[in-house]
Amino acid sequence: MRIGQNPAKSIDHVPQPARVTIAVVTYIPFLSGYFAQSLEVLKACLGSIWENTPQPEKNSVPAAYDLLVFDNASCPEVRDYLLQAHNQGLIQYLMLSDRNLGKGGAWNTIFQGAPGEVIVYADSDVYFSAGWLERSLQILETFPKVGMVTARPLRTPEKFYSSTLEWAQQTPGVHLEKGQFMPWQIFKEHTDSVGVSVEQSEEWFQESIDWRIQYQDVCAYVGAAHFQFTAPKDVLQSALPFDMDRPMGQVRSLDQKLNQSGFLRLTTCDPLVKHMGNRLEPAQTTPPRPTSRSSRKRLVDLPPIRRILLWAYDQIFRLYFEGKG
Amino acid sequence: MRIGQNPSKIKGSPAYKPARVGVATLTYVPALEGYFREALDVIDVHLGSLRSSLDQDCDLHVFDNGSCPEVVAYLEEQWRAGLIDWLSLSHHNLGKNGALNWIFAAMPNEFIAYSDSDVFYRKGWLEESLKIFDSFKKAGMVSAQPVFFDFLRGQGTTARRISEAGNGLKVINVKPRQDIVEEYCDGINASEDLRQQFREQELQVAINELTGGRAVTSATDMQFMLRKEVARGLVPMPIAGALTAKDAIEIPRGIEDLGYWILSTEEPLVWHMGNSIAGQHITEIDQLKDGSLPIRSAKPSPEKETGFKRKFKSLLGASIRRSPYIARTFERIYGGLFSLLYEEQDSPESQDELPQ
Repeated sequence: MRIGQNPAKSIDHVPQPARVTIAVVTYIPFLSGYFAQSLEVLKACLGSIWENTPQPEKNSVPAAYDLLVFDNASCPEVRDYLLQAHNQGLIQYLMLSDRNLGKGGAWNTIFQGAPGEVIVYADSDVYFSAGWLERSLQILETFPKVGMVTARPLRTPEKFYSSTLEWAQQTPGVHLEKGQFMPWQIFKEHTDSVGVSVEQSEEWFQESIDWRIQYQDVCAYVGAAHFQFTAPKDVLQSALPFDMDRPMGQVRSLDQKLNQSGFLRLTTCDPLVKHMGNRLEPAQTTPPRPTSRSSRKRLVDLPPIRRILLWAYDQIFRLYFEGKG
Repeated sequence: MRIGQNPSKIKGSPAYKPARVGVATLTYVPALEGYFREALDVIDVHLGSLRSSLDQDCDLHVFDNGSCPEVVAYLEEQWRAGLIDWLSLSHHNLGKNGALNWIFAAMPNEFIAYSDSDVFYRKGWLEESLKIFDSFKKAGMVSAQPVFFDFLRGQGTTARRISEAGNGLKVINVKPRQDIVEEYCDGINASEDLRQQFREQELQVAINELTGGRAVTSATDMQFMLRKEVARGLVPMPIAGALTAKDAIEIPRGIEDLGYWILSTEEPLVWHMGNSIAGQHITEIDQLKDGSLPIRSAKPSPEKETGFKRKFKSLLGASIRRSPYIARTFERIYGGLFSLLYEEQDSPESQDELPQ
């Protein structure tokens, strides 16, 4: 039975969510193999948000952003770290899923539920530098009908930004340039982070070009990426729902849907975020050149042997790690 | 930098498929004192009764609106034990409607059931609620308890719309059983005047003569169920405060504004425990505590659900994990294979376009 009056009924004011919700999705099922350094990478990611995103004084209203972390069934060490950060007030909203809903499933939840009118999304292996939010919002607020803004220049397939090009070519006051504007080092920094060889990277760099826009004195590159972006929540909601059949690999549909709906996909002109990948400090600055390969490596690279090893690797992951709570 | 391939990207690794029904509960206990001194016990009974009442898999989402560390620790423990599927922890109290905005917008299930965390669930609440959805196509919000209080203060449209709908639908007045009235009044700690008013009150019951379905034409924001599409149509709801009467009517009013009906079961299949259950010797709570009410255990993982091969693999995986020696060996083999496959690699696997 109810005894007395619930004091919550006398609370006539509740904190309003910040305009911007920064959402990070984590999935680190164990701390070995591919994920051996993932907790350290996650700490670097969240640490860079706390350090390099302007937040007014503690407890001031409204906050510049709320941080939301959606954990997609990570291992206990990761959950403990996240819970601790939440208890310290560093994570405003922590969503813990007992099952891996996939990135699409997490996006379905975040893009519907996040309280901010602007959502920043990042994988948990992204490092943020000072100025990333201000510059992303500047583009979002200056350009019309913006769908996504990534805080670093990237070269992405034209089929995902055709609407942006069309708008730039047809709109008076837009200065559109085509050429090699992105410095090689910036291009290489990203390709290094995903483990691409220097040769491959150089080839891609030579073959591809940049589209750069000046609009109302604001610079942006054409194209955006789904590992990190800033977007209006209503735009993201228009792209829902995402397929939840697999944990990853469904995210291209966001790029496609936004482009098809005529939204602009842009990046900042400076690199203000960085993809860290699954290792904080690479053993070498760049992947090794294929000079003299060891005999063991040559053996491992034989297609039938590599297939067997990959199969064994996959089976152990499924058998041992997937059922691990 | 990235070394190797994320195992989650391996073809065929399935993501979790949500259950048909997701049940959401909202907790807010700022301190285990005063009004909230029994709150942890109440929440424990609430969750226990929910598990005990279910004969089908449902996803359980607990949204904590900034409770004290003891309550958060209890919820974490439940979540770690696999008894909660999704645990959302907000550092601030967003208000009941703020939390509902989130729940309604985000839950992926076909049906979303909501209750306050001081509600006791009885067996059959889910099945009877679903029957009402089957019987009345315009059912928008269904509570599993006949609701005597008129939240919409005479402005509701459900009974009138059903009366006018024809097609085998009609509304009749029904005198409820006395025990139902008394239990309802106990739950809200009704004053003697209000109790007397409810004792004399008749309930308006909708009948679908084609399906045989019956439902009371009212509902409560304390516990209800709705379809995902309808829930999505309600948000964002305005937030006047943490728990205000003004906020409470947003749901039934919103449902009717969307053209749906607010309904409830004739039998009380949930009841309101309130903030105090100590020393009351309520049979159902006693049964739950002494174990005579069966409680469903944590949901089995999908691997354990079907198929001999999956079951075998699941058992094998569990056996390996139970033995520290074998587990370490497996981790070493896994790490060794990773190094062999990826640490010396020259370029990533199957990359055919600029990486993003």
